[in-house]
Amino acid sequence: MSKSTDVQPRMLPPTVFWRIAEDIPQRLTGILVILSLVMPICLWWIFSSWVASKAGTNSMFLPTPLQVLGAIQRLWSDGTLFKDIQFSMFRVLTGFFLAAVISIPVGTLMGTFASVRSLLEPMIGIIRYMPAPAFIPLLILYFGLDELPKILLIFIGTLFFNTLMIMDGVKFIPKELIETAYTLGGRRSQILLQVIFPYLLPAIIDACRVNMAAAWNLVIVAELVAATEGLGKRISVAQRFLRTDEIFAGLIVIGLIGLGIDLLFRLLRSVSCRWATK
Amino acid sequence: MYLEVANLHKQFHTRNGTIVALKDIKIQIKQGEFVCAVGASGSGKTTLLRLIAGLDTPTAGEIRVEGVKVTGPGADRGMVFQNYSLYPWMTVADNVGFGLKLRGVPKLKRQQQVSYYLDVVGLSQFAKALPKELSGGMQQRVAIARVLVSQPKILLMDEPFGALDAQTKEMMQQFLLELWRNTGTTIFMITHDVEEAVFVSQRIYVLTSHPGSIKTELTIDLPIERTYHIKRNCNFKEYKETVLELMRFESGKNALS
Repeated sequence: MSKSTDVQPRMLPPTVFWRIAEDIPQRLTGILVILSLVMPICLWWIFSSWVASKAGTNSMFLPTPLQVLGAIQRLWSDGTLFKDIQFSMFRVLTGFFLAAVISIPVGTLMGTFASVRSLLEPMIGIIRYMPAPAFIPLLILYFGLDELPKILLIFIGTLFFNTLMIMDGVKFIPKELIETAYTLGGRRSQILLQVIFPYLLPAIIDACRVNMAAAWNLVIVAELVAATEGLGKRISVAQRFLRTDEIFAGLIVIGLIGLGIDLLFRLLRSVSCRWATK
Repeated sequence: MYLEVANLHKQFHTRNGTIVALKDIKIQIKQGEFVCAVGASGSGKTTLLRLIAGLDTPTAGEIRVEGVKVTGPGADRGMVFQNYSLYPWMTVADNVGFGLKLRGVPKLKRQQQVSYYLDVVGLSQFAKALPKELSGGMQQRVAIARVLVSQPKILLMDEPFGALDAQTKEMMQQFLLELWRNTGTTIFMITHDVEEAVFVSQRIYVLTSHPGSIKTELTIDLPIERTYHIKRNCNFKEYKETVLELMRFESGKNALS
């Protein structure tokens, strides 16, 4: 037996910040969250002020936060911003709603029945990889420059992903939940509606939350190409006139609305699915 | 004969070849009996229960309930699983009433039945709770109530108390016995816990392992009114030892194979 007096067995050092898969004190979380928002804004402020002082006060290379705030106020006060938000939201919500109405039942059916899955998955798997923006020229060709092609773009961009994500959610249902319903006298259609669908609901909401974000991105892309109003349109107009403060303003508004939608979905999930602990 | 299993064979095809899970199983249960099947792992007990429940189809042989051949699952053969399988989004009351809802029983009648059986299992004050708020023993009682409400011809139980601690297990065994005495339901339970089997049943089928087949059938000649004190009774201990010895032989086969 060797003498091991110099090699001490190692103990895991305690830590607060680097805890793995454990909660950190709420105060620390609060501080870090505030830091994550405040730090970039401060850095931006400092950096843009430095750039402005170097290149002259009217340089639009990197607008300061104040300038961006001013742009937001300007665009809001004459009603443009509000109108843009309305139009963009209308396109996203319509396109996404249409996609949801189809993808939720189809995804559920595909997840439930191996037969339906085998029938639809190959084609959906292929179309899913076709980038939605590539459809823009076709959509404009077939449907013109009005609202329809933009809504259809959102529809195409989210339908297939949503269907596949929902389909995947079904495989997590414990088989016993289904078998229990059989031994209680349930028919297959009842199992689908009263066992599979409720179990799937949190997964459906999560899939919608993710794809709503994609939809939001898509609408901006569609508007960059062809629109008369909308947040994407506002950005491309600002681009043409080199109004970087308005570009930033547009981006920030888009980001904030996206965050708002995300939070709404999270709220929906926690309210309707109290039984599903995250 | 209430439940009749004749010449039951079940084999599975896997990558490593064909596995014979059950061979030549013959079981007969009369109405109102409480019968257990004990076996070590590999004895195909769960497979046997699933075949009776209709969740799987036999390779050969027949299962009949009151003379009618079993071709699929149904409410006449209610099943209680080891992990309760309660629907997490439904309250206790909704879980218990689910079988009735599936069969189109109107709401008022449903509520009456649910209240009655919640009372029978002693969980009336938890009617509005969600399953995750209950302990294991309580969840199992909800699962049992859920099956009883549909008034099945036979109650199939798959190691229902396997996931519980020793004290809760004993309480639940006594609870089940009392329930059986009061309702007269026919029960067929599988378990690997020999003491449990001797305690609750009137007859025991001992299964072999690899493949599962009936080694012996034992009649438990103990008074129907039993409490856990009977576990100290000489006859009880003898039954237990007999079955254990039979099982030891089977487990030994496992270790050597």
